Amino acid sequence: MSTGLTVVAPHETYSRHFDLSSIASKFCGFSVSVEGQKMATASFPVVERPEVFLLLGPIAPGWLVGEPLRVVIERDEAGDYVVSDSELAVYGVGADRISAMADYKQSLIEYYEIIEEESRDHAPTAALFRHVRRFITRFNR
Amino acid sequence: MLTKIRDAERQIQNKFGFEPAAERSSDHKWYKLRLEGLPTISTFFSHSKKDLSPKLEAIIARQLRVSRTFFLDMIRCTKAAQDYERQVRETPDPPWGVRF
Repeated sequence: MSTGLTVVAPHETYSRHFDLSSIASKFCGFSVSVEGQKMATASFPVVERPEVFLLLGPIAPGWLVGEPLRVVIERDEAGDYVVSDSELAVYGVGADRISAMADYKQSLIEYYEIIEEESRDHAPTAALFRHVRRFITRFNR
Repeated sequence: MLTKIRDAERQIQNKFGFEPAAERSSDHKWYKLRLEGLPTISTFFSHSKKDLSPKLEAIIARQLRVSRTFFLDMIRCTKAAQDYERQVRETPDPPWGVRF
């Protein structure tokens, strides 16, 4: 049922029930009785604030984040979770936080490998690889 | 209008000279571009999705050192390879001092 109202919801709220009588009364300025439907449901997209945290420690067998990476996890317009950082410009996507984070860690490793490979015969990329190695370490190779 | 990942991949390869990087996983397709005197520019697309959300467009644009608007112009054919090279050399976004 559409009430035609725009609802600004508390952040953590997914849905709320509204008493049509009280809504109508508020807009009319006097008590209004609404027959039939006593309750209406307003639905709206779930909005979540981006969460920021620091990633540090092992991310996969043989791989370590040795310097804290500031990572943001948020939902995109399609409803997917997106994990990204500003230091290496890597991202991961998933249907939930866990799969997005797993995708992000995989992307970090792939990024390291690509920049490492490029740095072997390309001086401008060697400096970039040193920057990447500040954050990501490969061991037990 | 959502950007189709296959369109973005086709454009950055055919028009802007990005090359596919060696495949490292079935989930991600990486592309790289070398421009004289600059670090390798790299980006990737997730093959678990068909379209890019505006947020992903913005992240990929950042990887390419351009604004999201510029990236969309690249994909929609209103920017040429020379425009892109001039952009990343003269006014990269973010600047090259921000390393990645």
